[in-house]
Amino acid sequence: MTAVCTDPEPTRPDPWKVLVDFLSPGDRRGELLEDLRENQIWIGTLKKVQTAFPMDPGISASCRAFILHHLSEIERITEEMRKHDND
Amino acid sequence: MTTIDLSQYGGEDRVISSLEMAEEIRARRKPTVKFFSKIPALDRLLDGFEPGELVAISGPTKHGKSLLAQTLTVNFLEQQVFTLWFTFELPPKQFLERFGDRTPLLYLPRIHRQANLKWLLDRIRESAAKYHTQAVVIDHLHYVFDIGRSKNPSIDIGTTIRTLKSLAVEMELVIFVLCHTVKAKADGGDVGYEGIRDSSFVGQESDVVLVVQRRPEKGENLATISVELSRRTGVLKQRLWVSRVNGLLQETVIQEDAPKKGNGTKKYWDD
Repeated sequence: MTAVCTDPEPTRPDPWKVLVDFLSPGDRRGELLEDLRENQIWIGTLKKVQTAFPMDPGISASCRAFILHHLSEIERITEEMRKHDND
Repeated sequence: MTTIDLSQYGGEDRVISSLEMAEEIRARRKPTVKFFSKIPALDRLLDGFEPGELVAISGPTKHGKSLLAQTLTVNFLEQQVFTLWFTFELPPKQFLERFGDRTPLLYLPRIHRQANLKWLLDRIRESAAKYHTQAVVIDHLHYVFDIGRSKNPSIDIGTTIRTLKSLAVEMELVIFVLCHTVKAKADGGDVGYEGIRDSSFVGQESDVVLVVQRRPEKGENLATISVELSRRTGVLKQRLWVSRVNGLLQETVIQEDAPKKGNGTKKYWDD
């Protein structure tokens, strides 16, 4: 019997995307900026929801968790932008 | 001529009894969400910051007012409280560089317009609508109105401060206003809030007045924060020691008669 490796192949970057990013770095930068803005707007919306229901610990905790998620996304995006700018 | 029967007046500014008012307040009461400086002694003295408060941060030039506001911004961020900054004195590049390699998430206008209170109020409203910023730092007050054209700076500052206080209450924000004091005393003596330049209104209209003053005689990176007054907690003229660590202020404990540290001190904290 032949053993079959079922581990998924590690994700490789899409060569076409790498090429496009390389040839038009402005587009990638624009995408990152758009992502950054989107996350910031989400944080603002979540803060508004959190403030609107101050008596509800469930909503408050959920908003806190989601805000934390968006903050970490922002950190990831800014890190990528920094790398992008250094390349 | 139109006559109004005032006995039937029902406008929102109608006169009501204290009992009706107390009932209304009870009905709309929300739990107060405070946020904290994370400088323990300061939080003990102020019991945090409450929405609707106007906080004046004063002190001689280059003694650490902006540094305290930066520290608060970073510490508020840890509590998921986001800050809008007006940095009139520094271009954005220089301002952001003060935070080091990792720029914290804060908000600021792309372009600053000086001596325009209406513009400032509009940006505060914009930032609250877009990002729900709950804290605002104005660095510093003298850029908000045109001191050159002002016939009476004291009155103009008073009007500005009163407008900002009303906005803080209306929008449930905490507004930090940085303002210069008269020059530091040559003998290193304390500068009080009475020394705030141009206006006694700042002290009178603010909920909290903090005075930051470097103490080079005690050590290069040492300063005091004096709580000159806190309306809510009733604290008057209590001070605590802080030191600058990694570009931010941290509380430190100092013996008042501690020997001078280091060989020399920089005159200013100007990064």
